[in-house]
Amino acid sequence: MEKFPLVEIEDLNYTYPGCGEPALRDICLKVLPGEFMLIAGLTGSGKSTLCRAVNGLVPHFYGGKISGNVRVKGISTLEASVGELARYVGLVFQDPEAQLVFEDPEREIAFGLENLAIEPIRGIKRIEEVFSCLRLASLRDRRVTDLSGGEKQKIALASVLVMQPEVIVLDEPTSQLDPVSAEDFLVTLKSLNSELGISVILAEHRLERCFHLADKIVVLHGGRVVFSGTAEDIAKTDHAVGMRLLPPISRLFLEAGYTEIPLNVKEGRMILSGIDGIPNRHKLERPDYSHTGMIGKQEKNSSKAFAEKITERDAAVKVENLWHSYGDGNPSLKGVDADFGFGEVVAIVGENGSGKTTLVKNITGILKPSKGRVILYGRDIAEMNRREIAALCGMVMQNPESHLISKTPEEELRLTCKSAGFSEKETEERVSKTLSTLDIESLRSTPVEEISCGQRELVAIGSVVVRDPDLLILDEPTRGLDSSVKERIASLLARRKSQGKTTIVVTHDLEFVAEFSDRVIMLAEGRIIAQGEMREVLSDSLFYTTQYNRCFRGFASGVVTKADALKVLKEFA
Amino acid sequence: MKIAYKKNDSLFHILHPVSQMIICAAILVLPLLNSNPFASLSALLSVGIIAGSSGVFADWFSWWRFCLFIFVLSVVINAFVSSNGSTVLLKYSGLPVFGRIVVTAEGLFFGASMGLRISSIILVFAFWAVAVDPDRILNLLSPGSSESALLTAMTMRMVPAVAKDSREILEAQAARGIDLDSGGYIKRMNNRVPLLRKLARDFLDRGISLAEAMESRAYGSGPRSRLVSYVFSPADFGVIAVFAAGLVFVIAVSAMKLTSFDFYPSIRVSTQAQGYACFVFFILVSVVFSVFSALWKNSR
Repeated sequence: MEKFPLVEIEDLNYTYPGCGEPALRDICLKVLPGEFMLIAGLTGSGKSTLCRAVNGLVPHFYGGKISGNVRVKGISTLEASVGELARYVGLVFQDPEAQLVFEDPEREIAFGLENLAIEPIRGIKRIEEVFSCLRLASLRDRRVTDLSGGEKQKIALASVLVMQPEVIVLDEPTSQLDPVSAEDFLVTLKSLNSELGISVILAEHRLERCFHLADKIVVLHGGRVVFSGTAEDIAKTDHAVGMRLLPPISRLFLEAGYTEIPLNVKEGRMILSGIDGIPNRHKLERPDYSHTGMIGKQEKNSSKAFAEKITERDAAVKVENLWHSYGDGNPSLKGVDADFGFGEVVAIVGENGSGKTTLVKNITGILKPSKGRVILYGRDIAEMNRREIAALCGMVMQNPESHLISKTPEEELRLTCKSAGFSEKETEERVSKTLSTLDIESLRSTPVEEISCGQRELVAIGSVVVRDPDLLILDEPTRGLDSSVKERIASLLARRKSQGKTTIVVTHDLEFVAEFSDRVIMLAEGRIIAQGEMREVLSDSLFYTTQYNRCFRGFASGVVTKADALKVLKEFA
Repeated sequence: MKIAYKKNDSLFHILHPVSQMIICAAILVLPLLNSNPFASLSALLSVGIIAGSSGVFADWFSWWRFCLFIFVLSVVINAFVSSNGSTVLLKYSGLPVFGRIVVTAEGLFFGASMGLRISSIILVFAFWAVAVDPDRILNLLSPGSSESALLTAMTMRMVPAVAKDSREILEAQAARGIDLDSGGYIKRMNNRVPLLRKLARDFLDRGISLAEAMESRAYGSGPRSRLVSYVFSPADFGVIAVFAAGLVFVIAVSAMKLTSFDFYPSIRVSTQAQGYACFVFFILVSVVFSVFSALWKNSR
């Protein structure tokens, strides 16, 4: 018997006001009750617009030209208001900060119910249920401002869930979260789907974490549906966009020529366990780390021991016994010793609040050390002025938006050149070269507001690298970005490396770390708990490692990168 | 200066918003109705003791520099503009703008008293800002004007967000080597124009995102109900009784001029015993409140 769809989209076409090109074209989709649908697609493919079409924000909030039909429980979203649809559809947005109205979590959760004029006796019961269901009791007495990104996003989910919608639509809800919070959020979402039977429509970039959760995957490209089917189906197609969206572990097995494609690490391990000859027998050649000063993760006083060894080689940047405290008096960095060699790409990893950003802000002189010192190309940073530091070192912040103060990418890059005192001729050369290196030449004169999230990240990077600093620091450069943007950042790193310039990357993206970094520094609670060659640090970690390493652990040692894994798989294919 | 509310586990924080309002109002009225420096001192000590017992002393005390500035400004301005008072300390003619100035001991003391008075008023408001949850106050007032209460709540959430945005923008510009402080005053102002434009744009974007999120949760779809309400505890009744009595006491002694203090032509303290009793009453009540606060905390 065919199920009656909860959400039904027929021939949907939509164009934003003032735009020539439609954002959505000929969309036809059905979401069944209790179904978990994943909407995947590259930046600008129309995922967010589709999410907003389901709850009626498109077209009621945005205006624009719309044709076709969107029905939720048989109600046309063109005819019903967003408020009426809110009883059936809950929408969770990308930025947790921008969707919360109140400082008090309880009031925030009550807000939707108050808008629906739910009487107190029923409303309070619902609020208590949601607090209990999402395990939010510990957040009850805290302020929204003091919550982490993951906690804020859970409050946003709770404030939608409390309205008891039949379908929850989420527009890249984990793009601003660290991997642990993202995982936690997705697990919660899946349990709501399986235990309460609530339908979920999830638009996401980080497919490796949610691919296996979905009953149906829809791939959008250029506003069109280019694929619709199960996770297993997408792994079997040879659609270029679909291929790029596959989780790393699936792509690995596909590239190795396997017909059985895993969707997550568990399935990958199950496949490996069935391959003759693999278990516990394959070993990749391990490099000798004795000359690098690498020390084991468990070694006590690791940073101190490392500091003693780094004096044996030259370093572009040295950090010596660095302490930093913010206003509350609690140290965020506790005696960090590290060095960054010429031409190295060094990744700094660790959970949120471990001191990663504080460390790099001290290196750039944005923050002043409470104790200890930073030696930048042979000079103590405390003795350098802002101009001298900027000539050597540039940093791209976590939020690229904070860099973009001009009207167009070209003006943005020119502003940096002007501040550096370059001549007009040199400015033009540098701007053109940087735009071309980052492959954003076509956006040269496009207003910044009109360019996509990933392209904005590239413009922000361009606004710093146009100065060609000897030391470049990138804080979370790949967060929420698709693989095409990551590839461009990776090629920039490779180019800098070949020029002998140092790059520090603060990131949670361990696949990116494995492919492009030479060394890794791991921080926890303001201290370095491990540092050394990338391969040694990542292959020695349980959580802070790549999906390839997790998949091959116990089957082949030393597998960290995709190339390592491919080598092993091809040998036994 | 800390301006954001800080949630804490204290007796003051769990009181009903009405009780919190009465405590602050009673202390505020003390310097507001009286120019007597002892009244200002009493208010200052009282609010300081309650801030300490509420665990927000550091945030509250972060206002001291600003208050010191106000105090010094009051003394200096008064010294230049007031020639009242019989004890002349300095006479000087031919000073640009001011012409002839006469600095008197009484004038200086008046300036200091006014500085203390303004500072104590500021510090009561500072305590209000760091210790009283604006959401709770707005929720309390919302039945009368739900839309303006909501607008105020949203603005209050926006303020720290915009402050964070501006800090991030300044850091990002510094990180790419943009020197905002080069050149003269006009150039420095011009340097900041793109930043202000960016901040305004971000503020607008945030507003649109918030409007979108609110509409998605059915805001504006009809009459609203009110789910979050606060109940009075026995502690509230005690606090309201004592501080309301203090409020009546201070209004009464002020109206009967029992707290008089004359500065000119010479300093004359005409405060009556009842006036002093009122000042001491507030300090004692604050001490008792902090004792109860400590007992409450220990009992948990």
